[in-house]
Amino acid sequence: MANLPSSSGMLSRLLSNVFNTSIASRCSASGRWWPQPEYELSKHRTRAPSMGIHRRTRLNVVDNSALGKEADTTGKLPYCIHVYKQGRRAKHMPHAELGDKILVAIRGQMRKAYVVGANTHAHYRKHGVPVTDKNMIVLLDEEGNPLGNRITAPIPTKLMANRGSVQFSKVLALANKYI
Amino acid sequence: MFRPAAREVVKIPTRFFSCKSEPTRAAPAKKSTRKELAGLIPAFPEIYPDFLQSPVWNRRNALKEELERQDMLERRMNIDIPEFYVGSIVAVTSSDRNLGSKEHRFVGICIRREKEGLLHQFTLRNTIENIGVEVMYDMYNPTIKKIETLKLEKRLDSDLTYLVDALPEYSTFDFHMEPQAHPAGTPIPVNEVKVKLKNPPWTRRWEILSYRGIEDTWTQATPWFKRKLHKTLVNDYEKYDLIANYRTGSTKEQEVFVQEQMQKFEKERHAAGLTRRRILKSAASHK
Repeated sequence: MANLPSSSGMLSRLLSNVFNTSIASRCSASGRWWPQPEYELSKHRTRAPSMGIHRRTRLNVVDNSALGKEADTTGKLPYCIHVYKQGRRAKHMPHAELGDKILVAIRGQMRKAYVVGANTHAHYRKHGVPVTDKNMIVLLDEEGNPLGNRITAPIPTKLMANRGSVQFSKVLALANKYI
Repeated sequence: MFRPAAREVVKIPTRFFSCKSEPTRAAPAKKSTRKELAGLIPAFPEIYPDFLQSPVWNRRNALKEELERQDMLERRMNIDIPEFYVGSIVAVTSSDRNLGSKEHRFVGICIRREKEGLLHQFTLRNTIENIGVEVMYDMYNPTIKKIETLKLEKRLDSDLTYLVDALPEYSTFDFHMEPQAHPAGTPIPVNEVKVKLKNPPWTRRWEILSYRGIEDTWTQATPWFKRKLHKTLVNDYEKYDLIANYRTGSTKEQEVFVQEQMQKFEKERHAAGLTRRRILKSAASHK
């Protein structure tokens, strides 16, 4: 193959420059967990906690399902695409709060999930209801049964009020630590 | 309305003029007030922020304050609401019908205290299994069974919201921590720790906001925010606004009035013989 030493040399030098930039391991606002090079760092702050979970809100899966673990390792977190709730927001879907059922997009597929931890804004908090730094969900399969068989994070005791619902009681059975 | 952090007003020195022809218009000599001896607390706004008036001038209503105060004092006679500040470690036991033991205990550092009157709230923060958890409690909610101050101390700021973006070790407190008694009469210790933040992005622009308890935000801030600084509205002049300080703050007369009401209430209840609980007290002054 005819070698063009100058251009290939330049190309390889360019590539090595790109990969040698100081890669600070940062919790990136774009939702990617693997190290991002500095020049690509998002200029936006992490989205300040909003009134609730809505479409495009990224969530952390806290059960030990394989799907959840894959999403976490690849860095593409699941995000909400629908909230199953009757709401009063004019022309908008209502926000999801602690204990609501939502539809998430995860690894190219759609899954139902329950919100077990919400990062509620300070002005919307209620007395005695714990607020976590991360929005946490538990994935459900097609029939509505939880995908994993254990919940790794502690969940608020307020969720125990939903004991009556058959679906939710299956999720509560998996929890072992309550805040 | 959430009360902004207490304004740091720059004290402009005032001159007292004394005129020989009109000696009555001279500045009054500073005399030690009899009030100091009557058991009133100079640091009243810090210890009882719930008894202050609304920071919004037009919402101040004497009747409303009187009615709320009566309810607050009744509640304080039933349950011991101890003295604590932002930065103290507090344990709250509230009743929870979902649990078998019907009691829910949460321990955390108090990060903010907001609102006046019966609506007074405080938020506790702790880290449980590497997840930061904050719980907001209404101080006068009857479902609270017990409030204990495990460690009484203050911090450099009156609002520790930045702990959200700080390293988890600054928000981690043991649930089974032993209460550390504060010797009566000693001043409240100030913990001058400077907290280290996690890598940006942060939830707020800590590099602009003047919080004394954060270590070196500027070097950690990203270049984009640093370039944006010259366009940001930074209102440093607000601390010189005396009129705003007068409108939002409290006067000595009001504090004395409220304390006298509290003393009267205490006396009546003690005379009725049902309880000997003392409401108006300060850990920094002698008993």
